[in-house]
Amino acid sequence: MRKMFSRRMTAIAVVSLLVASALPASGQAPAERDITVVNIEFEGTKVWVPAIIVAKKGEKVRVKMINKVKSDPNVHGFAIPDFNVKVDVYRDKPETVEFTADKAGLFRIWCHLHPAHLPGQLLVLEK
Amino acid sequence: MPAQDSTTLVREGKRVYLANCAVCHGESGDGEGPGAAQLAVKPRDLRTGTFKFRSTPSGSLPRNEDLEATLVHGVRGTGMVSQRHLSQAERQAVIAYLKTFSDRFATEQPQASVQVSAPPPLTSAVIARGRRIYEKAQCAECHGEGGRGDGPSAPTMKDDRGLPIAVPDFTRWPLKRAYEPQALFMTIATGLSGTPMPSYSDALEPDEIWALVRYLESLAPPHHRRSLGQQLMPGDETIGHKIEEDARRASKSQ
Repeated sequence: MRKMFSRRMTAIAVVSLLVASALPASGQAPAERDITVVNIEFEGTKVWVPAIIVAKKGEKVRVKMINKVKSDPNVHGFAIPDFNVKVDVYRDKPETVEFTADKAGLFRIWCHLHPAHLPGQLLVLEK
Repeated sequence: MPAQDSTTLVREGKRVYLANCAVCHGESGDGEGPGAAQLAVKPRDLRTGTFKFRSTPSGSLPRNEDLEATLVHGVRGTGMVSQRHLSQAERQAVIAYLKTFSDRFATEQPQASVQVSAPPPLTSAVIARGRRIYEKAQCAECHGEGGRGDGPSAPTMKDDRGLPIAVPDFTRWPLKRAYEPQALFMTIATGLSGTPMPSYSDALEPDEIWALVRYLESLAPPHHRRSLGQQLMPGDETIGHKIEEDARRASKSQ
């Protein structure tokens, strides 16, 4: 019985250590950022609005994508390869993707389904 | 055409439609006829006025000759079998009738057909150029690196109704519509309305589209090519023929 209790305490200690190491130095959960982008068509050109999204390094970013383009095709892509983000967004079928902005810099956003269009940028700021 | 003639044409079209098309497309054109449940590729909902196989630019209605081409050739590998048994007059009548299912035909005019330029000679240089365009245009995302319809996004492709779409395997010809290279040029130039396949007419010049077509042709080994007379291949939907046959038999026995 005492042995089992000891094992359980050891397991709790290990898990606590792992969780602590995943948290920022302050010990708090990473900040979260919610962003919504909408795909629209203006005079024949399709764009994500806003085309430039901004986050701070370390933030957990949640992007909601809404495709409001009425013309064909019925789907467009939203990809940020540097963060392994790649989502097919169908017309009027919102999608949400989450990633951690674990590096600072300027990163390319584009539609991975069609010839390079819907260009955008993700700017991740140092703290 | 005088109004009386138009009414007569539509009335005749309704007769042809109910005898040949309603079994799958439904009496109201909603694509939910009694045969539809048996089909893997669901029949078109004619009420939307959205047609994949057109010669017109993206977003436009099809021209009568586009609809007639689908009637004559069918859509290979699906339940939409050729309606060659219909006379030209019957085809014109049924086209007039099916256009009554969507208000679009009453309020819009189809645009002019996209022009198909002369094809380039089939050379290794053209094919290599087509391969580069295939990569640049990110075709592999849906169609796969080898053109077998197995790209990363292929399993989740859907049409406007949310129904799954089978991305074509370019190593097996003829394709749904592309029984000749000019038809594949047209699909790339006009896109397939209501699906994830866009028009590339803004992104690619005609000679680039042709290079792409030549590359896609090169993916099909000769033994995978079938003539129009040999339409069925393993995996093709054959139930359309049976549904049509049963409907004709039932109609004769009445």
